[in-house]
Amino acid sequence: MHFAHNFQRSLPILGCVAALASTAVAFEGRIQAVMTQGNDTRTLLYTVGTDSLRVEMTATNWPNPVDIVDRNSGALTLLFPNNRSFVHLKPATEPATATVPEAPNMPMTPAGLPLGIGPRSAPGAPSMPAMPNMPALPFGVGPQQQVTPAMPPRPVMPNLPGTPGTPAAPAMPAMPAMPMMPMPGDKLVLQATGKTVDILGYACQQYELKQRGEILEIWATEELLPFKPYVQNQPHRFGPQRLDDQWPALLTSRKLFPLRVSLRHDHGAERFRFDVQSVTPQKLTADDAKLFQPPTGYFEIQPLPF
Amino acid sequence: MKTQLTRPIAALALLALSILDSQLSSVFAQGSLAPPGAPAASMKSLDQIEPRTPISSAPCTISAPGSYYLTANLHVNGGDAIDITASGVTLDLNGFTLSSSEATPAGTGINLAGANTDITILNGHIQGGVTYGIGGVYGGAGFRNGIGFSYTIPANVRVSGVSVSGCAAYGIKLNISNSTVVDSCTVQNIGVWGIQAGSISHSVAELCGDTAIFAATADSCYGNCTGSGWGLYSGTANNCSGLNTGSGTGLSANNANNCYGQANGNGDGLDALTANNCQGSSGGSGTGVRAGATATGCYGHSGTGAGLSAMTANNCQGQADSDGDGLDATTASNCQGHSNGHGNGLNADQTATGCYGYTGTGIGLSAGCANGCSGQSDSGDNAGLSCNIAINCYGTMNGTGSGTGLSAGAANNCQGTSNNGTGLWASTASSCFGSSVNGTGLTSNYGNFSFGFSLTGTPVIIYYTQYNMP
Repeated sequence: MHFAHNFQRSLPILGCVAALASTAVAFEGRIQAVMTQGNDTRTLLYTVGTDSLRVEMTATNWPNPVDIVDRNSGALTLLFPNNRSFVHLKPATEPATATVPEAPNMPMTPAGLPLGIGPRSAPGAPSMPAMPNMPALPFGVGPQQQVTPAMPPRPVMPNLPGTPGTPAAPAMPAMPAMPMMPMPGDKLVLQATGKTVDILGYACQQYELKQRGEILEIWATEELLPFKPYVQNQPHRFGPQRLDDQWPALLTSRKLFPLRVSLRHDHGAERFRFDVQSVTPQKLTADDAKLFQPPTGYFEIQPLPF
Repeated sequence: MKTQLTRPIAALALLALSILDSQLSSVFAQGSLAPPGAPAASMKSLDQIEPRTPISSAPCTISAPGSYYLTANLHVNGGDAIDITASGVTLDLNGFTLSSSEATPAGTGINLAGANTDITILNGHIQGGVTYGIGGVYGGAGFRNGIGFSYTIPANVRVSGVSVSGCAAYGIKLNISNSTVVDSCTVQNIGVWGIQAGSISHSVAELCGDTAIFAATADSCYGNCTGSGWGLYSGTANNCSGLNTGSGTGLSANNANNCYGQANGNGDGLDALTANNCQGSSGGSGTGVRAGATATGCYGHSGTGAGLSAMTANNCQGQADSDGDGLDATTASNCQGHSNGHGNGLNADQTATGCYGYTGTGIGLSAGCANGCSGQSDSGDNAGLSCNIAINCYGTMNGTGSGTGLSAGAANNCQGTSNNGTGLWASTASSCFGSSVNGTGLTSNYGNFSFGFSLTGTPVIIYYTQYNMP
């Protein structure tokens, strides 16, 4: 009786241990993915060992760099087949969330109207303004003579909404699509949408990132490994980071691996896609160990002194 | 008769002069007309001014301060050609060439060994047999480095008028922070880095497997990288040009002035914190010009990425051939953005002033606040100009698209036109005019002295309140 009671108490603990054990087994094997941007399609191969990761571009006859990552420390070794050299880079200390840089104060943004547009309250009756003075139009822009007619004569007075005795005014339809502007200091945060789907047998959750009229949709899983983007040289940039530069670090910090990524404009046109084509769990052989070291005959170069 | 008289007079005058001249010459004589002896030496020889030591064979080591010069072309089959292990050395290659035929390049043409200072290398050539071959690979015999240092870092080093070619790793490699200067040098067919130094001027690095020129300050330089590095990377770059024919960035600098960067692959054309009068182009998905702070008077172009991206853009232009945005900025002033595909012509997160944006099917101009701006979209269901606040703006939606000409939270003194959609759509419209062929001319919650016209649709829809309306 006492034993049974103890056993019952320990069941949830055993369940947790079993669950932890199943997720604690690090993925080992190969992942093949295709990245498409514009007319450019790249095939990436992830060779995942217990302690190391190799990322390379395949299906190409060009000597592209190869990434070797120490999965424990995060240190990166870049191999350059074009000149038979390699460089060791210390682990990057990237922020977990990307931040839009600070900028001067923005004029007061109206709120409370569809899609964040418009004033918060109705304005008071303004004084009679001057006749509209239309801005000068750039060359080739503006109303076409044969398409847009000139200012018409005094139009018929439209029905005023809410006037007693008239039907209720229809609600103003939604404003046309307008990108939401990132505010200074806003952090890009990986937002889970709550949608889930199985891709290649892996339970994936959907995440979204939005910036400058673009939506990045990510289907990612915790069952593989923390994502490492393929890099071709020492990552360093003066200019602002765009959405497509920032999402990999957000996934890495959450220990997620994407099986599908799609970057679209608000209006639907896709301009970037990442698709995992196959995931092959397999124990790597002793021969595979050499994949995680610079080949014989390669010489070491120093990192650029940024 | 007159002629007969003058002849005897002239003859007499000549006779008198000849007598007088012989007497004068003896009266005013200053000495002997015999030439003096050979002049004595009055100048110092070159050796007296600066004793120079000839170098006539390699390998050799310069281990004492002084001035050295080559007397012939020198060749080594392996290892370094010249090692400099002392401070205060000037080495004049004297127009001659150091070369190597080492099968697996390991040696250096001129190796600066030890933490020495005050070294100058001038006027000559360093050659190996490494070449950039088909398939993008560097290979061949020769030096590993043209001019370099090992382990410890030399300081106060100047390299001038030297050409380096055919090295497996570095062309001219000095430390960038130890008063090192490279001027008027050329390097070519270098496996890794072309030239690295604190200050590089009037120099060219062509066909380098990684970063071609790396400097704290680069002036009037050109670098070409065939790999994933940079054509030119510098703290400050003036009048420079960087080309990347591989996958990296054309030109990158903290401050770039009058520079040009081009990436034929997916790298950025020109990447800078501050860019003035610069131009950048990316053939792939990179950004034409990317400026972390301010871009002034710049032009950026990209194949499938964004044309120009900056925190603040003044008098700039960006063009995207495909689906990228033409110009992205937090604040844009007197700028133009152009996207041929689905991207937006010009995006300004905060304010756009005096700007113009054009797009194929995206939003012509999108801004938080737009003042004196114009936006145009040729098709689709987006908007010619879309913003929170529009003042003195114009937006047009051409073609068969059903989008809005101008869409704003508050529009003041604006105009919008559309073929099939709404001409102008604003929550608050004041002194505005909207026109449409088949859609509604002007739609608003609150209208004030605003007008609309439609050929086949409704001229004006005001949902709540209108003032001073016809």
